[in-house]
Amino acid sequence: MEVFKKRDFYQALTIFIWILFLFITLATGKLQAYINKRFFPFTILGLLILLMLFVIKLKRFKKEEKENITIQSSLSFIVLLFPILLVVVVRPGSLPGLAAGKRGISQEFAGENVMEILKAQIEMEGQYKKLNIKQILTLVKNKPEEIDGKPVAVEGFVFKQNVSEKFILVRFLITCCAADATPLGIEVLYSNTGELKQDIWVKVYGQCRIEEGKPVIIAEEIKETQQPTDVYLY
Amino acid sequence: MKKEKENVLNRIVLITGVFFLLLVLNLWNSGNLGVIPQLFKNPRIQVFTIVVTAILLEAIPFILIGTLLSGLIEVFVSEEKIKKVFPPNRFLSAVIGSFLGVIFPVCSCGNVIVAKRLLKKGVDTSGGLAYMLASPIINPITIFSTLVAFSYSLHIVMGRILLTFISAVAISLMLSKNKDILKEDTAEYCTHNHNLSKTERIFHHAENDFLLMGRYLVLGAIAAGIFQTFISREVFIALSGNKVLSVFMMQILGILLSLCSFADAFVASSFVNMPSFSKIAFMVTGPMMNITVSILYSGTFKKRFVLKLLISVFFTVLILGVAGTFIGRM
Repeated sequence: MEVFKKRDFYQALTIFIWILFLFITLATGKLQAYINKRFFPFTILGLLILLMLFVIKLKRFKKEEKENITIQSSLSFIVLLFPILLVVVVRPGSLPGLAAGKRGISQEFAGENVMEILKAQIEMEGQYKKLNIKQILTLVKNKPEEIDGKPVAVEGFVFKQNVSEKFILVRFLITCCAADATPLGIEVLYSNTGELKQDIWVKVYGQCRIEEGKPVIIAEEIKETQQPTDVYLY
Repeated sequence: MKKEKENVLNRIVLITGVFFLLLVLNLWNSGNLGVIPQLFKNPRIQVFTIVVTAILLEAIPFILIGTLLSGLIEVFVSEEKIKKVFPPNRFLSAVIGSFLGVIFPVCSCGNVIVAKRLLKKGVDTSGGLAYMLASPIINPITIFSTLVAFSYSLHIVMGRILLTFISAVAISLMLSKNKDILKEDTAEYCTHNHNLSKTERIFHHAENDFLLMGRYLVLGAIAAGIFQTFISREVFIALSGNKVLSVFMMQILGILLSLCSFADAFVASSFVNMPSFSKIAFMVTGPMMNITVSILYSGTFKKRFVLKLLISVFFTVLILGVAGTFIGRM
Protein backbone atom coordinates (compact mmCIF):
# COMPACT_ATOMS: atom_id res chain seq x y z
CA MET A 1 0.00 0.00 0.00
CA GLU A 2 1.98 2.93 -1.35
CA VAL A 3 -0.42 5.48 0.07
CA PHE A 4 0.54 4.73 3.67
CA LYS A 5 4.03 6.01 3.00
CA LYS A 6 2.89 9.39 1.81
CA ARG A 7 3.00 12.49 3.91
CA ASP A 8 -0.15 13.73 2.22
CA PHE A 9 -2.06 10.77 3.54
CA TYR A 10 -1.16 11.56 7.15
CA GLN A 11 -1.88 15.23 6.67
CA ALA A 12 -5.33 14.35 5.41
CA LEU A 13 -5.82 11.87 8.25
CA THR A 14 -4.82 14.43 10.87
CA ILE A 15 -7.22 16.99 9.47
CA PHE A 16 -9.95 14.36 9.31
CA ILE A 17 -9.48 13.33 12.95
CA TRP A 18 -9.68 16.96 14.05
CA ILE A 19 -12.87 17.38 12.02
CA LEU A 20 -14.34 14.34 13.76
CA PHE A 21 -13.25 15.61 17.16
CA LEU A 22 -14.70 19.10 16.67
CA PHE A 23 -17.89 17.64 15.26
CA ILE A 24 -18.35 15.17 18.10
CA THR A 25 -17.67 17.69 20.87
CA LEU A 26 -20.07 20.10 19.22
CA ALA A 27 -22.80 17.55 18.51
CA THR A 28 -22.72 15.95 21.95
CA GLY A 29 -22.72 19.29 23.76
CA LYS A 30 -19.35 18.51 25.34
CA LEU A 31 -17.94 21.71 23.88
CA GLN A 32 -19.56 23.79 26.59
CA ALA A 33 -17.34 22.14 29.17
CA TYR A 34 -14.44 23.93 27.48
CA ILE A 35 -15.53 27.18 25.89
CA ASN A 36 -18.18 29.87 26.21
CA LYS A 37 -21.26 29.24 24.07
CA ARG A 38 -20.74 32.63 22.46
CA PHE A 39 -17.76 31.14 20.63
CA PHE A 40 -19.66 28.19 19.16
CA PRO A 41 -20.18 30.01 15.84
CA PHE A 42 -16.39 30.29 15.55
CA THR A 43 -16.04 26.58 16.20
CA ILE A 44 -18.55 25.90 13.44
CA LEU A 45 -16.65 28.25 11.15
CA GLY A 46 -13.40 26.46 12.05
CA LEU A 47 -15.05 23.14 11.34
CA LEU A 48 -16.17 24.38 7.92
CA ILE A 49 -12.69 25.67 7.07
CA LEU A 50 -11.19 22.33 8.08
CA LEU A 51 -13.76 20.50 5.95
CA MET A 52 -12.82 22.64 2.98
CA LEU A 53 -9.13 22.00 3.61
CA PHE A 54 -9.90 18.31 3.72
CA VAL A 55 -12.00 18.24 0.55
CA ILE A 56 -9.43 20.22 -1.41
CA LYS A 57 -6.69 18.02 -0.02
CA LEU A 58 -8.48 14.93 -1.35
CA LYS A 59 -9.08 16.55 -4.73
CA ARG A 60 -5.42 17.38 -5.06
CA PHE A 61 -4.31 14.01 -3.84
CA LYS A 62 -3.58 12.51 -7.24
CA LYS A 63 -2.30 15.64 -8.93
CA GLU A 64 0.76 16.10 -6.83
CA GLU A 65 4.08 14.54 -6.54
CA LYS A 66 3.87 12.98 -3.13
CA GLU A 67 6.53 13.14 -0.50
CA ASN A 68 7.24 10.20 1.75
CA ILE A 69 6.74 10.57 5.45
CA THR A 70 9.80 11.28 7.56
CA ILE A 71 10.48 10.89 11.26
CA GLN A 72 10.09 14.61 11.78
CA SER A 73 6.74 14.86 10.07
CA SER A 74 5.36 11.79 11.84
CA LEU A 75 6.31 13.38 15.15
CA SER A 76 4.38 16.48 14.24
CA PHE A 77 1.26 14.44 13.51
CA ILE A 78 1.58 12.77 16.88
CA VAL A 79 1.84 16.20 18.56
CA LEU A 80 -1.21 17.44 16.67
CA LEU A 81 -3.25 14.43 17.73
CA PHE A 82 -2.01 14.19 21.31
CA PRO A 83 -4.74 16.44 22.81
CA ILE A 84 -7.45 14.32 21.23
CA LEU A 85 -5.97 11.18 22.72
CA LEU A 86 -5.74 12.95 26.08
CA VAL A 87 -9.44 13.84 26.02
CA VAL A 88 -10.51 10.38 24.93
CA VAL A 89 -8.48 8.70 27.66
CA VAL A 90 -9.09 11.13 30.52
CA ARG A 91 -12.74 11.91 29.69
CA PRO A 92 -12.73 15.15 31.65
CA GLY A 93 -15.81 16.36 33.46
CA SER A 94 -15.89 19.98 34.58
CA LEU A 95 -13.27 22.00 36.43
CA PRO A 96 -12.95 20.71 39.99
CA GLY A 97 -12.60 22.74 43.18
CA LEU A 98 -8.84 22.32 43.04
CA ALA A 99 -8.78 24.85 40.20
CA ALA A 100 -10.79 27.30 42.29
CA GLY A 101 -8.17 27.17 45.02
CA LYS A 102 -5.28 27.65 42.57
CA ARG A 103 -6.95 30.58 40.88
CA GLY A 104 -8.15 32.36 43.99
CA ILE A 105 -11.89 32.83 44.47
CA SER A 106 -13.29 36.30 43.73
CA GLN A 107 -15.99 37.47 46.07
CA GLU A 108 -16.47 40.68 44.12
CA PHE A 109 -17.65 41.12 40.56
CA ALA A 110 -18.75 44.17 38.61
CA GLY A 111 -18.81 43.42 34.92
CA GLU A 112 -22.50 42.76 34.49
CA ASN A 113 -25.43 44.93 33.54
CA VAL A 114 -27.30 45.35 36.79
CA MET A 115 -30.49 46.69 35.19
CA GLU A 116 -30.90 43.46 33.24
CA ILE A 117 -30.94 41.49 36.45
CA LEU A 118 -33.48 43.82 38.04
CA LYS A 119 -35.75 43.75 35.01
CA ALA A 120 -35.51 40.00 34.45
CA GLN A 121 -38.31 37.78 35.64
CA ILE A 122 -36.76 36.04 38.58
CA GLU A 123 -38.14 32.68 39.57
CA MET A 124 -39.14 32.18 43.16
CA GLU A 125 -38.87 29.07 45.28
CA GLY A 126 -41.29 29.77 48.07
CA GLN A 127 -40.02 32.96 49.64
CA TYR A 128 -36.54 32.54 48.12
CA LYS A 129 -35.39 34.37 45.01
CA LYS A 130 -33.53 32.08 42.61
CA LEU A 131 -30.34 33.95 41.71
CA ASN A 132 -26.96 32.77 40.53
CA ILE A 133 -23.67 33.77 42.13
CA LYS A 134 -22.81 36.25 39.40
CA GLN A 135 -26.16 38.02 39.77
CA ILE A 136 -25.78 38.30 43.51
CA LEU A 137 -22.23 39.66 43.31
CA THR A 138 -23.30 42.19 40.67
CA LEU A 139 -26.21 43.37 42.83
CA VAL A 140 -23.96 43.66 45.87
CA LYS A 141 -21.57 45.87 43.92
CA ASN A 142 -24.11 48.05 42.12
CA LYS A 143 -27.45 47.96 43.96
CA PRO A 144 -26.74 46.60 47.45
CA GLU A 145 -30.16 47.69 48.74
CA GLU A 146 -31.82 45.24 46.33
CA ILE A 147 -30.12 42.23 47.87
CA ASP A 148 -29.22 43.05 51.48
CA GLY A 149 -31.38 41.04 53.84
CA LYS A 150 -33.27 39.22 51.06
CA PRO A 151 -33.92 35.46 51.08
CA VAL A 152 -32.17 33.77 48.17
CA ALA A 153 -31.73 30.30 46.66
CA VAL A 154 -28.32 29.76 45.04
CA GLU A 155 -26.59 26.83 43.40
CA GLY A 156 -22.88 26.04 43.38
CA PHE A 157 -20.27 23.64 44.63
CA VAL A 158 -18.77 23.48 48.09
CA PHE A 159 -15.30 24.82 48.72
CA LYS A 160 -14.15 24.33 52.32
CA GLN A 161 -11.09 25.72 54.02
CA ASN A 162 -10.65 23.99 57.38
CA VAL A 163 -13.34 26.08 59.05
CA SER A 164 -16.26 24.19 60.51
CA GLU A 165 -18.85 26.98 60.58
CA LYS A 166 -18.66 28.24 57.03
CA PHE A 167 -17.73 27.41 53.44
CA ILE A 168 -17.57 29.17 50.09
CA LEU A 169 -20.19 28.41 47.46
CA VAL A 170 -18.44 28.55 44.09
CA ARG A 171 -19.29 28.69 40.37
CA PHE A 172 -16.81 29.23 37.55
CA LEU A 173 -17.39 32.17 35.24
CA ILE A 174 -16.10 31.66 31.71
CA THR A 175 -15.38 34.50 29.31
CA CYS A 176 -13.75 32.64 26.44
CA CYS A 177 -12.59 29.24 27.58
CA ALA A 178 -11.87 27.16 30.66
CA ALA A 179 -8.33 28.57 30.79
CA ASP A 180 -9.76 31.93 31.82
CA ALA A 181 -12.42 30.49 34.14
CA THR A 182 -12.68 32.73 37.19
CA PRO A 183 -14.13 31.18 40.33
CA LEU A 184 -16.83 33.41 41.80
CA GLY A 185 -17.76 32.66 45.37
CA ILE A 186 -20.06 33.64 48.20
CA GLU A 187 -19.41 32.86 51.83
CA VAL A 188 -22.06 30.68 53.42
CA LEU A 189 -22.51 30.43 57.20
CA TYR A 190 -23.73 26.94 58.02
CA SER A 191 -23.30 25.17 61.31
CA ASN A 192 -23.14 21.67 59.79
CA THR A 193 -20.42 22.52 57.28
CA GLY A 194 -18.41 19.58 58.60
CA GLU A 195 -20.95 17.17 57.14
CA LEU A 196 -20.65 18.58 53.63
CA LYS A 197 -18.15 17.00 51.29
CA GLN A 198 -15.68 19.10 49.33
CA ASP A 199 -16.74 19.72 45.70
CA ILE A 200 -20.34 18.47 45.94
CA TRP A 201 -23.07 20.50 44.27
CA VAL A 202 -25.60 22.05 46.64
CA LYS A 203 -28.45 24.48 46.67
CA VAL A 204 -28.31 26.96 49.51
CA TYR A 205 -31.46 28.60 50.87
CA GLY A 206 -30.94 31.51 53.20
CA GLN A 207 -30.73 35.19 53.89
CA CYS A 208 -28.17 37.26 52.01
CA ARG A 209 -26.41 39.94 54.05
CA ILE A 210 -23.71 42.34 53.04
CA GLU A 211 -20.71 42.51 55.32
CA GLU A 212 -17.78 44.77 54.41
CA GLY A 213 -18.96 44.98 50.82
CA LYS A 214 -19.15 41.21 50.44
CA PRO A 215 -22.24 39.02 50.51
CA VAL A 216 -22.67 36.38 53.19
CA ILE A 217 -25.50 33.89 53.13
CA ILE A 218 -26.86 32.71 56.44
CA ALA A 219 -28.01 29.27 55.39
CA GLU A 220 -31.37 28.01 56.59
CA GLU A 221 -31.38 24.89 54.47
CA ILE A 222 -28.88 23.14 52.23
CA LYS A 223 -29.86 20.49 49.69
CA GLU A 224 -27.50 18.32 47.72
CA THR A 225 -28.22 18.62 43.98
CA GLN A 226 -27.02 17.26 40.69
CA GLN A 227 -24.42 19.18 38.78
CA PRO A 228 -26.42 21.52 36.49
CA THR A 229 -26.29 21.04 32.72
CA ASP A 230 -24.79 24.51 32.34
CA VAL A 231 -21.87 23.84 34.64
CA TYR A 232 -20.33 27.26 34.16
CA LEU A 233 -21.69 30.77 34.25
CA TYR A 234 -21.10 32.85 31.16
CA MET B 1 19.07 -0.42 5.79
CA LYS B 2 17.59 3.03 5.76
CA LYS B 3 14.64 1.90 3.74
CA GLU B 4 13.83 -0.87 6.21
CA LYS B 5 13.89 1.58 9.06
CA GLU B 6 11.47 3.80 7.24
CA ASN B 7 9.14 0.91 6.58
CA VAL B 8 9.00 0.09 10.28
CA LEU B 9 8.40 3.72 11.05
CA ASN B 10 5.60 3.90 8.52
CA ARG B 11 3.92 0.94 10.09
CA ILE B 12 4.19 2.48 13.54
CA VAL B 13 2.68 5.69 12.29
CA LEU B 14 -0.09 3.79 10.52
CA ILE B 15 -0.95 1.83 13.64
CA THR B 16 -1.04 4.98 15.78
CA GLY B 17 -3.32 6.57 13.20
CA VAL B 18 -5.77 3.71 13.22
CA PHE B 19 -5.61 3.59 17.00
CA PHE B 20 -6.53 7.26 17.16
CA LEU B 21 -9.41 6.78 14.78
CA LEU B 22 -10.82 3.97 16.89
CA LEU B 23 -10.46 5.97 20.07
CA VAL B 24 -12.18 8.99 18.59
CA LEU B 25 -14.99 6.84 17.27
CA ASN B 26 -15.29 5.48 20.77
CA LEU B 27 -16.42 8.92 21.91
CA TRP B 28 -19.72 8.18 20.20
CA ASN B 29 -20.78 5.56 22.68
CA SER B 30 -19.45 7.60 25.57
CA GLY B 31 -19.18 5.77 28.83
CA ASN B 32 -17.25 2.58 28.57
CA LEU B 33 -13.68 2.55 27.47
CA GLY B 34 -13.03 -0.56 29.49
CA VAL B 35 -11.43 0.02 32.85
CA ILE B 36 -10.49 3.65 33.22
CA PRO B 37 -7.71 3.84 35.70
CA GLN B 38 -8.49 5.85 38.81
CA LEU B 39 -5.45 7.93 37.88
CA PHE B 40 -7.43 9.85 35.28
CA LYS B 41 -10.01 10.91 37.83
CA ASN B 42 -7.28 12.78 39.68
CA PRO B 43 -8.35 16.45 39.76
CA ARG B 44 -4.91 17.62 38.56
CA ILE B 45 -5.11 15.51 35.44
CA GLN B 46 -8.68 16.69 34.94
CA VAL B 47 -7.70 20.36 35.21
CA PHE B 48 -4.72 19.83 32.90
CA THR B 49 -6.82 18.10 30.24
CA ILE B 50 -9.60 20.67 30.43
CA VAL B 51 -7.25 23.65 30.18
CA VAL B 52 -5.21 22.23 27.30
CA THR B 53 -8.30 21.22 25.35
CA ALA B 54 -10.07 24.49 26.09
CA ILE B 55 -7.15 26.59 24.83
CA LEU B 56 -7.01 24.52 21.66
CA LEU B 57 -10.73 24.52 20.99
CA GLU B 58 -10.76 28.24 21.55
CA ALA B 59 -7.72 29.03 19.43
CA ILE B 60 -8.05 26.61 16.52
CA PRO B 61 -10.91 28.45 14.78
CA PHE B 62 -8.90 31.66 15.03
CA ILE B 63 -5.75 29.95 13.76
CA LEU B 64 -7.82 28.69 10.83
CA ILE B 65 -9.26 32.14 10.14
CA GLY B 66 -5.70 33.48 10.31
CA THR B 67 -4.40 30.86 7.90
CA LEU B 68 -7.22 31.55 5.47
CA LEU B 69 -6.60 35.29 5.66
CA SER B 70 -2.93 34.65 5.14
CA GLY B 71 -3.72 32.46 2.12
CA LEU B 72 -5.96 35.18 0.70
CA ILE B 73 -3.24 37.80 1.14
CA GLU B 74 -0.72 35.50 -0.51
CA VAL B 75 -2.87 34.87 -3.55
CA PHE B 76 -4.80 38.09 -4.05
CA VAL B 77 -2.75 40.95 -2.63
CA SER B 78 0.22 41.91 -4.73
CA GLU B 79 3.47 43.17 -3.25
CA GLU B 80 2.92 46.60 -4.80
CA LYS B 81 -0.45 46.96 -3.10
CA ILE B 82 0.97 46.04 0.27
CA LYS B 83 3.81 48.49 -0.15
CA LYS B 84 1.25 51.20 -0.79
CA VAL B 85 -0.38 50.51 2.58
CA PHE B 86 2.93 50.43 4.42
CA PRO B 87 5.00 53.54 3.70
CA PRO B 88 8.78 53.12 3.38
CA ASN B 89 9.36 55.22 6.49
CA ARG B 90 9.96 52.76 9.32
CA PHE B 91 8.24 54.83 11.97
CA LEU B 92 5.08 55.40 9.91
CA SER B 93 5.11 51.77 8.89
CA ALA B 94 5.16 50.74 12.57
CA VAL B 95 2.34 53.17 13.41
CA ILE B 96 0.17 51.80 10.62
CA GLY B 97 1.04 48.24 11.60
CA SER B 98 -0.11 48.87 15.19
CA PHE B 99 -3.55 49.98 14.07
CA LEU B 100 -4.10 47.37 11.37
CA GLY B 101 -5.79 45.16 13.94
CA VAL B 102 -8.79 47.48 13.83
CA ILE B 103 -9.49 46.15 10.32
CA PHE B 104 -8.15 42.61 10.78
CA PRO B 105 -9.21 41.55 14.28
CA VAL B 106 -7.42 38.22 14.50
CA CYS B 107 -6.40 37.12 17.99
CA SER B 108 -2.80 36.63 19.06
CA CYS B 109 -2.65 33.05 17.79
CA GLY B 110 -4.01 33.71 14.31
CA ASN B 111 -2.15 36.89 13.66
CA VAL B 112 1.35 35.47 13.92
CA ILE B 113 0.51 33.67 10.69
CA VAL B 114 -0.85 36.83 9.08
CA ALA B 115 2.24 38.80 10.20
CA LYS B 116 4.50 36.15 8.72
CA ARG B 117 2.68 36.47 5.41
CA LEU B 118 2.97 40.26 5.47
CA LEU B 119 6.72 40.00 6.12
CA LYS B 120 7.09 37.49 3.30
CA LYS B 121 5.26 39.90 1.03
CA GLY B 122 7.95 42.47 1.64
CA VAL B 123 6.43 44.61 4.38
CA ASP B 124 9.16 46.32 6.39
CA THR B 125 10.12 44.44 9.57
CA SER B 126 8.87 47.36 11.67
CA GLY B 127 5.36 47.30 10.14
CA GLY B 128 4.99 43.52 10.32
CA LEU B 129 6.22 43.34 13.91
CA ALA B 130 4.05 46.25 15.07
CA TYR B 131 1.03 44.53 13.56
CA MET B 132 1.93 41.25 15.21
CA LEU B 133 2.42 42.79 18.64
CA ALA B 134 -0.39 45.34 18.73
CA SER B 135 -3.27 43.85 16.77
CA PRO B 136 -4.38 41.32 19.42
CA ILE B 137 -4.96 44.27 21.75
CA ILE B 138 -5.77 47.27 19.56
CA ASN B 139 -8.86 45.78 17.95
CA PRO B 140 -12.58 46.33 18.56
CA ILE B 141 -13.24 43.01 20.30
CA THR B 142 -10.45 43.29 22.86
CA ILE B 143 -11.17 46.96 23.54
CA PHE B 144 -14.83 46.20 24.13
CA SER B 145 -14.14 43.26 26.44
CA THR B 146 -11.68 45.39 28.42
CA LEU B 147 -14.33 48.10 28.80
CA VAL B 148 -16.86 45.58 30.08
CA ALA B 149 -14.43 43.80 32.39
CA PHE B 150 -13.41 47.04 34.09
CA SER B 151 -16.96 48.42 34.36
CA TYR B 152 -16.39 50.99 31.60
CA SER B 153 -13.36 52.52 33.30
CA LEU B 154 -11.88 54.59 30.50
CA HIS B 155 -8.48 55.14 32.04
CA ILE B 156 -7.76 51.41 32.14
CA VAL B 157 -8.76 51.01 28.51
CA MET B 158 -6.80 54.08 27.39
CA GLY B 159 -3.84 52.92 29.47
CA ARG B 160 -3.94 49.54 27.80
CA ILE B 161 -4.16 50.97 24.29
CA LEU B 162 -1.44 53.55 24.93
CA LEU B 163 0.97 51.14 26.57
CA THR B 164 0.43 48.67 23.72
CA PHE B 165 0.89 51.30 21.05
CA ILE B 166 4.02 52.83 22.53
CA SER B 167 5.66 49.49 23.25
CA ALA B 168 4.73 47.99 19.87
CA VAL B 169 6.15 50.97 17.98
CA ALA B 170 9.26 51.17 20.17
CA ILE B 171 9.99 47.43 19.95
CA SER B 172 9.44 47.24 16.21
CA LEU B 173 11.74 50.22 15.62
CA MET B 174 14.40 48.71 17.89
CA LEU B 175 14.24 45.41 16.03
CA SER B 176 13.61 46.69 12.52
CA LYS B 177 17.30 46.50 11.59
CA ASN B 178 17.06 42.72 11.70
CA LYS B 179 16.39 41.38 8.26
CA ASP B 180 16.03 37.77 7.26
CA ILE B 181 14.26 36.90 10.50
CA LEU B 182 11.88 34.25 9.20
CA LYS B 183 12.60 30.59 9.66
CA GLU B 184 13.18 28.67 6.46
CA ASP B 185 9.90 27.10 5.56
CA THR B 186 10.25 23.60 4.23
CA ALA B 187 6.52 23.05 4.07
CA GLU B 188 6.12 25.54 1.24
CA TYR B 189 7.62 23.16 -1.25
CA CYS B 190 5.18 23.80 -4.01
CA THR B 191 4.22 27.40 -3.44
CA HIS B 192 4.89 28.14 -7.04
CA ASN B 193 3.02 25.24 -8.44
CA HIS B 194 0.90 27.15 -10.90
CA ASN B 195 -1.15 24.16 -11.98
CA LEU B 196 -3.34 24.85 -8.99
CA SER B 197 -6.35 27.10 -9.23
CA LYS B 198 -6.53 30.22 -7.07
CA THR B 199 -8.88 28.63 -4.54
CA GLU B 200 -6.69 25.57 -4.35
CA ARG B 201 -3.66 27.73 -3.74
CA ILE B 202 -5.39 29.61 -0.91
CA PHE B 203 -6.32 26.36 0.78
CA HIS B 204 -2.95 24.85 0.11
CA HIS B 205 -1.27 27.72 1.96
CA ALA B 206 -3.87 27.58 4.69
CA GLU B 207 -3.29 23.87 5.18
CA ASN B 208 0.49 24.24 5.39
CA ASP B 209 0.12 27.02 7.93
CA PHE B 210 -2.39 25.04 9.96
CA LEU B 211 -0.32 21.89 10.14
CA LEU B 212 2.81 23.87 10.94
CA MET B 213 1.39 26.25 13.53
CA GLY B 214 -1.03 23.68 14.92
CA ARG B 215 1.74 21.67 16.49
CA TYR B 216 3.30 24.75 18.09
CA LEU B 217 -0.12 25.68 19.41
CA VAL B 218 -0.51 22.23 20.97
CA LEU B 219 2.91 22.51 22.64
CA GLY B 220 2.02 25.99 23.90
CA ALA B 221 -1.30 24.82 25.28
CA ILE B 222 0.40 21.94 27.08
CA ALA B 223 2.89 24.33 28.70
CA ALA B 224 0.10 26.68 29.78
CA GLY B 225 -1.90 23.70 31.06
CA ILE B 226 0.98 22.53 33.24
CA PHE B 227 1.33 25.98 34.75
CA GLN B 228 -2.40 26.45 35.35
CA THR B 229 -2.62 23.06 37.02
CA PHE B 230 0.31 23.25 39.38
CA ILE B 231 0.93 26.85 40.32
CA SER B 232 -1.28 29.01 42.46
CA ARG B 233 -2.08 32.55 41.37
CA GLU B 234 -2.28 33.68 44.97
CA VAL B 235 1.46 33.15 45.31
CA PHE B 236 2.04 35.79 42.66
CA ILE B 237 -0.12 38.33 44.38
CA ALA B 238 1.52 37.69 47.71
CA LEU B 239 4.95 38.20 46.16
CA SER B 240 4.13 41.52 44.55
CA GLY B 241 4.88 43.87 47.42
CA ASN B 242 5.79 47.17 45.79
CA LYS B 243 5.00 49.00 42.56
CA VAL B 244 7.94 47.73 40.54
CA LEU B 245 7.51 44.16 41.75
CA SER B 246 3.76 44.22 41.16
CA VAL B 247 4.26 45.12 37.49
CA PHE B 248 6.98 42.49 37.14
CA MET B 249 4.97 39.71 38.76
CA MET B 250 1.83 40.47 36.80
CA GLN B 251 3.87 40.35 33.60
CA ILE B 252 5.18 36.91 34.51
CA LEU B 253 1.65 35.81 35.33
CA GLY B 254 0.40 37.10 31.96
CA ILE B 255 3.10 35.09 30.21
CA LEU B 256 2.40 31.89 32.12
CA LEU B 257 -1.40 31.93 31.98
CA SER B 258 -1.56 32.20 28.15
CA LEU B 259 -5.05 33.64 27.96
CA CYS B 260 -6.68 34.84 24.79
CA SER B 261 -6.51 38.63 24.50
CA PHE B 262 -10.29 38.66 24.09
CA ALA B 263 -10.63 37.31 27.64
CA ASP B 264 -7.63 38.34 29.69
CA ALA B 265 -9.25 41.58 30.87
CA PHE B 266 -11.79 39.61 32.89
CA VAL B 267 -9.05 37.73 34.66
CA ALA B 268 -7.06 40.94 35.18
CA SER B 269 -10.05 42.66 36.73
CA SER B 270 -10.39 39.87 39.27
CA PHE B 271 -7.08 40.95 40.87
CA VAL B 272 -8.92 43.57 42.86
CA ASN B 273 -6.07 44.73 45.07
CA MET B 274 -3.33 45.09 42.49
CA PRO B 275 -2.30 48.57 41.21
CA SER B 276 -3.96 49.48 37.90
CA PHE B 277 -0.76 49.67 35.91
CA SER B 278 0.29 46.18 36.94
CA LYS B 279 -3.03 44.92 35.55
CA ILE B 280 -2.41 46.87 32.35
CA ALA B 281 1.09 45.38 32.11
CA PHE B 282 -0.53 41.94 32.52
CA MET B 283 -2.91 42.67 29.66
CA VAL B 284 -0.14 43.99 27.40
CA THR B 285 2.59 41.42 28.10
CA GLY B 286 0.22 38.43 27.88
CA PRO B 287 -0.96 38.80 24.29
CA MET B 288 2.51 39.89 23.12
CA MET B 289 4.57 37.06 24.60
CA ASN B 290 2.63 34.43 26.54
CA ILE B 291 3.83 30.83 26.39
CA THR B 292 1.55 29.84 23.54
CA VAL B 293 2.39 32.88 21.43
CA SER B 294 6.13 32.55 22.16
CA ILE B 295 6.09 28.98 20.95
CA LEU B 296 4.25 30.14 17.83
CA TYR B 297 7.00 32.78 17.37
CA SER B 298 9.62 30.08 17.58
CA GLY B 299 7.84 28.24 14.78
CA THR B 300 7.93 31.38 12.65
CA PHE B 301 11.16 33.23 13.36
CA LYS B 302 14.79 32.29 13.76
CA LYS B 303 15.82 31.44 17.32
CA ARG B 304 18.07 34.43 17.89
CA PHE B 305 15.37 36.80 16.77
CA VAL B 306 12.72 35.19 18.98
CA LEU B 307 15.02 35.68 21.94
CA LYS B 308 15.62 39.34 21.08
CA LEU B 309 11.91 39.89 20.56
CA LEU B 310 10.87 38.34 23.87
CA ILE B 311 13.52 40.22 25.84
CA SER B 312 12.63 43.56 24.26
CA VAL B 313 8.90 43.06 24.81
CA PHE B 314 9.38 42.12 28.45
CA PHE B 315 11.67 45.00 29.37
CA THR B 316 9.90 47.66 27.32
CA VAL B 317 6.58 46.87 28.96
CA LEU B 318 8.24 46.62 32.37
CA ILE B 319 9.91 50.03 32.07
CA LEU B 320 6.81 51.73 30.65
CA GLY B 321 4.56 49.99 33.15
CA VAL B 322 6.66 51.01 36.13
CA ALA B 323 6.88 54.56 34.77
CA GLY B 324 3.10 54.48 34.45
CA THR B 325 2.56 53.50 38.07
CA PHE B 326 4.59 56.49 39.21
CA ILE B 327 3.15 59.03 36.77
CA GLY B 328 -0.43 57.83 36.90
CA ARG B 329 -0.49 57.34 40.70
CA MET B 330 -2.99 54.58 40.07
